[in-house]
Amino acid sequence: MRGSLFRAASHAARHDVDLAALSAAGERAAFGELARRHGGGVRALLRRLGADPALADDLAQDAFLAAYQQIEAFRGEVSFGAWVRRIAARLYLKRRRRDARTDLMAEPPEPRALVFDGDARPIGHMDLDQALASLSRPERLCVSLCHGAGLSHAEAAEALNAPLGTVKSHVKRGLEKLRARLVDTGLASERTG
Amino acid sequence: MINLDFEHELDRMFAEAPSLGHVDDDAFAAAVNRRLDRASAIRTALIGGLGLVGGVIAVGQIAASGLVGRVATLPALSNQLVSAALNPRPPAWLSPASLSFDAAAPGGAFLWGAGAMALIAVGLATWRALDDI
Repeated sequence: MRGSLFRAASHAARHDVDLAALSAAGERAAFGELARRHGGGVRALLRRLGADPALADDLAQDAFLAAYQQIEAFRGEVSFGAWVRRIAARLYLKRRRRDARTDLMAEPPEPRALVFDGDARPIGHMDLDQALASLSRPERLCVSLCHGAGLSHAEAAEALNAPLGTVKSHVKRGLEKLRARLVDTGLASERTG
Repeated sequence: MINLDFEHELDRMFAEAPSLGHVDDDAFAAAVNRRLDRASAIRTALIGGLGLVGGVIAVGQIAASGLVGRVATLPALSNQLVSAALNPRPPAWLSPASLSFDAAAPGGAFLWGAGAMALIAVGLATWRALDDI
């Protein structure tokens, strides 16, 4: 018991790359620490892409299982969080294609609000999710895939089965809208605006 | 032209997870661990089960082919061969033309068994490949 507590404490202090190496060597507790650290980010991305909370949780778990199976491929070129978010985004698109068999870029009949479990944010506080909610679905999807999941424009176009030019223009328009909203609310500095 | 600084700031904002609470993070990690445990248990049971089936088939085929009986007669046969070879006038059955290795040739049952085991091996390999994808 003390040993496992000590291991957990020592894992909490370790870098992601070290934890990934330990996970590859079969240290499950190390992978548990990675899931604890990055689970929230992965779930948040999935909700930003349009998944409801239950689906986001399921797919986030699937993404971590997939990450565990291919953990030896993780070399640390990108952060571990970005690597798993990328896996999760691909799983989400795959699920959407399988379930709906519809155009992923099409606007849904009713815009879906981004919902978080612990929505205890100050009223009137404009954050990234609220700014994203102001984008059209294709813009939000393209911006989230390229900036949240780290896909290139070409990769996003391939994943969405959409022309590259369309993806680029959605990203461009989405970024312009986000910049305007985030700078207005002081979340992004004027320098970057 | 969108400012690159803004894009980097946006990347950072995406990377910062909204706080869902430590309890929630721990529960999520525990759920991932449970699923890893379950997947590992299922895989172990499947591999063990398939190995057992393969082993039973192999043993059954070896028994059916009469290999054990033939192996048991080998010492006596070799004794006969040595005695006959030492004889200055070897019997006719020891001539090279009459010696045959038919007995060592695999029977149909043995081939069926080998085929079944090969199928199981291919099934395992396919399953592992699909799993990796």
